[in-house]
Amino acid sequence: MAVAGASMEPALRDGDWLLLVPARSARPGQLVVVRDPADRARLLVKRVLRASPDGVEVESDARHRDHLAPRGTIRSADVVGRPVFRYAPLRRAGPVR
Amino acid sequence: MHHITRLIAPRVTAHAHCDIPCGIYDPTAAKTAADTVAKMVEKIATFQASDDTNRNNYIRSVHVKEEHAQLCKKELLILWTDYFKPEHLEKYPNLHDTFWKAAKLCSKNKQSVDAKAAADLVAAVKEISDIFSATKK
Repeated sequence: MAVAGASMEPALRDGDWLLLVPARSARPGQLVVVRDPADRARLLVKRVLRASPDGVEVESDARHRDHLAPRGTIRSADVVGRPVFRYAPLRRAGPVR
Repeated sequence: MHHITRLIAPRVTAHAHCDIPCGIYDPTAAKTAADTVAKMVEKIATFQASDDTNRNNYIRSVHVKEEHAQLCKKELLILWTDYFKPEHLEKYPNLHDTFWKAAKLCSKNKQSVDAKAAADLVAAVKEISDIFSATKK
């Protein structure tokens, strides 16, 4: 999947290509791809702030740029997976965390 | 090569946008933080007895004061660097100076328990808040 936007800098940059492991949960501190609760057709990549059996709460790394990060718990059903590897650009290829 | 790129190119996009870049700025957070600093300075001055409960509350007040002084600075810097634009500076030539002094007051309030510095911070944030409101009209 491709990253669009700068809210996860410096970990992820606009235009990064990532491999994703399908998952329904993630631990605090891990990157996660979730469905946007405001528009479920849209995927967001964020970092897990808190995790519970019901789902996850997420935040952006570049927090000041992200006044509209989804608030509240995102249900496990809307957790899509965890980015694990960046395969492009090649010079920054490698595991992501 | 083009074929390969197409083959490995991602099919989906995960948004890490500054979710709608984003135009949502608000000086309220800085104001609340500055007010909190002033309130803590006021509380710190009234502590007297040195039993454990008092000592605990005293320490907490100092902690909260420092935390909110730092938060105030952070919120001010967001407004300064992200919200205000060169055209605002034309209209408010003292803008940089105002922010700079306000940020310094945050540091001063973090370091000291000083009612005057706290009042100055509240006033400085109010001034910035007023400028912010004026630019929204």
